[in-house]
Amino acid sequence: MKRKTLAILIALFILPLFISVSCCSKKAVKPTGAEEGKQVAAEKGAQEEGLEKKKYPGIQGEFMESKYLKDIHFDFDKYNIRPDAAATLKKSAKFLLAHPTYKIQIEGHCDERGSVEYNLVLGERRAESAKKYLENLGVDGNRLSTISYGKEMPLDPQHNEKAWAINRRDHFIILEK
Amino acid sequence: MYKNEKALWSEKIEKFRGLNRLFTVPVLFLLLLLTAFFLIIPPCAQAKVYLDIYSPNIRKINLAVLPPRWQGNILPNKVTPSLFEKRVTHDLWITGFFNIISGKEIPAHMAAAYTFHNHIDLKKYKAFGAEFVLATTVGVNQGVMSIEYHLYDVALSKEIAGARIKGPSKTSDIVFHAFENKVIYYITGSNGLFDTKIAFISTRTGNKEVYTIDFDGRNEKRITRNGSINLDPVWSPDGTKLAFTCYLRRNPDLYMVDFKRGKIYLFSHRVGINTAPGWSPDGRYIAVTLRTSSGSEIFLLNNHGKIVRQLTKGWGDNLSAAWSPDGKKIAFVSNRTGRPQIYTMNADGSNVKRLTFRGTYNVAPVWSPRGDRIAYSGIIDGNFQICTITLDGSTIHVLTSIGSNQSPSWSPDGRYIAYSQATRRGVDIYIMNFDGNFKRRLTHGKGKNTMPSWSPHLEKP
Repeated sequence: MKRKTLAILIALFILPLFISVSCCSKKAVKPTGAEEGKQVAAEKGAQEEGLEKKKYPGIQGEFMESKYLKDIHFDFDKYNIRPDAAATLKKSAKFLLAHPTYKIQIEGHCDERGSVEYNLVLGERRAESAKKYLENLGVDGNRLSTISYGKEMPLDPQHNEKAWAINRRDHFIILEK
Repeated sequence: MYKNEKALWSEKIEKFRGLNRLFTVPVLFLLLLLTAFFLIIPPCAQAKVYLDIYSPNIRKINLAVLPPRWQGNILPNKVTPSLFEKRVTHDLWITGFFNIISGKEIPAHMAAAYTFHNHIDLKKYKAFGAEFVLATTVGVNQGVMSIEYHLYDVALSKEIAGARIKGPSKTSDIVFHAFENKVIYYITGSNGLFDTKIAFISTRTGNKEVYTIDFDGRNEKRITRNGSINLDPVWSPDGTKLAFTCYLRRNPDLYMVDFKRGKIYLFSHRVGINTAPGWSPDGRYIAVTLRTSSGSEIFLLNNHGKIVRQLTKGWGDNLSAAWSPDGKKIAFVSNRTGRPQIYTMNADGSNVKRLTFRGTYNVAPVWSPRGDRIAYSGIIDGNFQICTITLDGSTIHVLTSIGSNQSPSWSPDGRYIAYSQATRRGVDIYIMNFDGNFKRRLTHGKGKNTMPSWSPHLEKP
């Protein structure tokens, strides 16, 4: 059993190595400027890892999102990690362990009920819960920053239970590769 | 030049009362003569308080506002006699202290007696229920605007106040504010609030930016233009600064608008929230909510943003500090028992006491300027309502009932509470008397308008 997980871990570490090696070879082949080649390679690599470049209006800096880092959800006015969220976080941890250079920001979000100030505090708790959980799964805490957006960035702007359930979430973004 | 001015002036008078031009020349001379007499008018010795606005069940005062006498030009911002009258009646009405008897309701011959002969027969005003009469003479000449006013007590049949207020006509708002504040002063015993503003957050550009609006609903101004998420504006006690939280640097940092220097600068940028600022009444300290390893806590910062001390510790999250007017106590929100409730403590963090026990979600405390109660928003039957609670927790007044009402902010004299109201029609800033009476809307749509913060007095009398 232990051996098996070790094998998976090794595989997870080696796989991206192969990808980067293949990228490097491409770069060497390309005759035009080295910089350009690097960029093309990086973008190709990003696609393979399911990364998408993004920017929030009015907030400095770009970031990336990965389909392998899925949102987790919370109960109303709660910040404990639910069983379904735990399963999601385990998958996220695997992805993060496979990409040890990635710097991640965990965003805590809330539904529209409650006050702005109290939701900011709750969002902090939600982001910190996920951070602790990922640390316990072996992800280095120095790679994980947290931010609370309170109720300022709802995914679903509607005013009903379904929208609220979607909006009570932790979202994960990649600040640095 | 003189001819033009005269023609313009005559035109005004004609429009004003529709009188024959032939009459206007002698009237002009008469007015000039009268102005000379009124140049120095002694202020009333000691004001009697006619209306105790803090007493329950205030009865409104019937105030007749005469159309103004007018000398000189119209104002650069096109204030004509009729607009002047409209503004004064509107502004006095929004205080909630008056039933206004406007120029239209005053019989034409009585208004004309004032306009052309400077004559007021107080007995005649008594006949249709006026308790006070306000008469004004407005002068606009060579860039100077003056408002001369006389306030009469009808029952006593005498003048209780009169003065002349002057200022550059370019900034006529300041002259209006000073005049209107004085009228309120002579009726209620304390200055009006026409030189105060309310800062708020609006989404009219698609994101949350900071705006200000005057107490009378005029002069809406955008303060921030960063396209980011801006929250929680709070005025400094001297009105020269406005603190707010902004996400520009991918962190909810605390910024400061410095109105004197016309600058916005970063004030506290610790990792995590830098939110819900509460100024000490002397303006020397700001209590803010910051992240710690054990949750959110309230810290005391000095004027340079340096931490002086941590005020709360442990037991869940602590946030939203609000100082008592004497600077000795701080009200705040804590979820140490599981749900957010209002607590009080000494300004050094000792002697923590729970204040609210009713309801399961009570937030946003603000101490009344008179120090006798705390306003907050609490969830009642699923919606936020503005409440006040006495300091011993014994009496709670629920002041709102329609929609969801949040973020109470006291006027500097404690007569009013500004708050945001969300209904199906929209989200706007409202003002009500501290007892919940006389609610009026201050903002009118254009996005969601939330998080009001009432300034102190901003203009020197």
